[in-house]
Formats: sequence, C-alpha cells, structure tokens
Amino acid sequence: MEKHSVDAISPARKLVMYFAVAEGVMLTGNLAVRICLRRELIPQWCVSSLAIATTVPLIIFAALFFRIVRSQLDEMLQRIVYESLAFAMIVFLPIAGLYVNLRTAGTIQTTLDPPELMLIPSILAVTGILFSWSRLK
Amino acid sequence: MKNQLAELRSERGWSQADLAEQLGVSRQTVNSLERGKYDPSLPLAFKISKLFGRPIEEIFQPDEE
Repeated sequence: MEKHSVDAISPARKLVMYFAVAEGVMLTGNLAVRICLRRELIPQWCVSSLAIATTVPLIIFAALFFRIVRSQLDEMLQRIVYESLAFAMIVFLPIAGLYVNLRTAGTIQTTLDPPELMLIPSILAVTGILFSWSRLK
Repeated sequence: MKNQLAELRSERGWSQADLAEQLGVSRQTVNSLERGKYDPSLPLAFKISKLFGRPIEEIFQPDEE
C-alpha cells in the first residue's frame, strides 16, 4: 500500500487551490480577451495567444490531477474526489441536455457565457464533495 | 460495518492522529473508520490487523441484518 501524508487535508487543499488559481487565470484571460477584442487594443494573433496562454494552467492542473490524487490523498479522500467528479458529470449532463434542447426549441432565450459554462461543472464538483464529505464524516 | 478500532486505539493510549500516522492515512479517515462511516479497503484492513495483532474479523464485524 502506498504511503500517504497523514495530514491528507493539506494535499486536498492544495488540489483545490491549484484548481481555483487555474480556473481564475482562465476566466481572467477570458475577460481580458473580451476587453481586447471590444476595444481592439492588440492584434488578433496576440488575442489568440492570450487565450491559449491563460488556459495553460488548467492544462497543467489536468496533467497533475491524478498524480496528486493518487500519491498524496489517502483512500477515503480519493473516494470523495472520485465520487464528486462522478456526481458533477451525472448531474451536468441532464442539465446541459435540457438547456441545449430548450434553447433549440426556442423555449429559453438565455445564452450562457463561457465563464458560466466553465463554472457549472466546478460548482457541481464542489457540491459533490460536500455531499460525499457529509456522508463519510 | 461495526469495528473495535476506537477501543483498540484507546487501549494503547494512541490519539487518532497517532493511529493515522502509523496507518499512513489522514486523521479524518481514522475518525470516519471509527464511526463506521467508512469501510476500509482490503489493504488498509490488513494493515490495521497487523498493527493491532488481531485478525480482521475480530476488528471488523458486518452489520447484522
């Protein structure tokens, strides 16, 4: 059995912090891209570069995710993380399906912005963590 | 699942943090194990069994129907 940190909450906090920073950078980048496009501050290739660059932290987080979860979280915390991701996926799909169909049918006119689309799975994953945590605690 | 983890730990005068350190898990996991909220994996159950020098079935008992 692998040796895990006794204070496994710290790696869990580290994981959440990495994600929050990565998502924050991406959303800030999205805001910057919008401002640049609206005011035509920088050329298109710079805007594209900014869009890609601000997504890099999320790509790095994705690459580090399983390594951190497997090597630094103990088995119960791993279970909480996996259950919360499954919860987020299972709840997100019908919500997204409903939104897409109702939007296509013209029943709802609201358009979700990219930041909102990015935040929904994150909010669902956090909700899943709270559910799992309250059940196992 | 019921277990004797809290009693065995108390007999030895260990805190949850002490037990967690010896098992290589978090204190929160030890707490959930003792309260019967979380059932350990087989490797962790064997590690607990070895640490306390008791067979697994003596430490963990299934809930009665």
